[in-house]
Amino acid sequence: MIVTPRLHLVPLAERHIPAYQTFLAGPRAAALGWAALPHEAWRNFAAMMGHGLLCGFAPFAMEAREDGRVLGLCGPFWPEGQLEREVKWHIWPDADEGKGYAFEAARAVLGHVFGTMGWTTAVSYIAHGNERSAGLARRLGAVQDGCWTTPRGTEVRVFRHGRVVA
Amino acid sequence: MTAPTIHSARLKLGPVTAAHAEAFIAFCATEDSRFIGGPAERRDAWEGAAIGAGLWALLGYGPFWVSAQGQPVGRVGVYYPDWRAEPELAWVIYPAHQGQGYATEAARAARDWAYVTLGLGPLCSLIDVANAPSIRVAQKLGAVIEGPHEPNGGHEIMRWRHPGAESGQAPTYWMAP
Repeated sequence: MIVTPRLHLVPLAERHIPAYQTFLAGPRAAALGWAALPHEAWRNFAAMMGHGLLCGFAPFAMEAREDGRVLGLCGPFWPEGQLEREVKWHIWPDADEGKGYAFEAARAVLGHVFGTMGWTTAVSYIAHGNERSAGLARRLGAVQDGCWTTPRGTEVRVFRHGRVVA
Repeated sequence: MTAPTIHSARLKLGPVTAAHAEAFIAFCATEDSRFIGGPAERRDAWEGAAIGAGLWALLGYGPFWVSAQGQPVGRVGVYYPDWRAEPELAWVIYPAHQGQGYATEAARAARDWAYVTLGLGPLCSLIDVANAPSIRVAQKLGAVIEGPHEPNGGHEIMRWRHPGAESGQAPTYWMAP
């Protein structure tokens, strides 16, 4: 677990699934092309948990320290078929966007991947049009380093992070 | 949790490893995977292996990865993703290792484990009417056709019902020492 001033970053667990399903059923996910039915979201979630067992690491769920509510996910991600090791983040409840939670989580996670995990480079793949996440990547010190086309044929922007020492 | 390791007479059933994921990916690239939704690209097959591992973390049970003499030979166990009406006992043994009774042995061990440890059962198995080798396995396991299941991607599927736990019958698996 990683603890930041306002957040607990904890292993993904079943209790986090409903907020993820709600997010993927909502308009923000639809705008990014991520819309998914509840059973598809459940399947994705199981795959992310299995990612942890196959790779030894997985994104963390993000919980508010003040009341334990589920805010989203943030963490290291490198599934088969993805070119580079990634640090990813999502804020799930609409009401928790814009409060700096993703920044707070991502900065702690960058310290974790470059420190404890010993990564030498990390990127964030960000969809064209997702200016909120691109802005966050820049605030974290990342710079755009071209684009990458996923195995599914979607072009995304590559933001490369500078090494962070926690 | 992750899968425990259990043993049957000739087989080891345990958690996913990189070697098992690679063997599964290789299998999913071939037409032989048509009864489990293949062929599938590398990325999708890897995700399938990851989902199997994720089921253990979410439910406390899921598919075991099967080894014979240290080699990955398949995947067998209880599959119960969120959208299914009931848990299914499912088995895949890769073609190079078929014909030796591995599927029957592994599925019986996994079924016994599910009955003893989880109190599940009687379990079902969903089998394509064209999948003759799997139908033979179901018959050897004592399962009987219960009725048609909803067709999936143009495949005609039957739902087989396994016998329930038999009292007084010793399980066919043991835990790793």
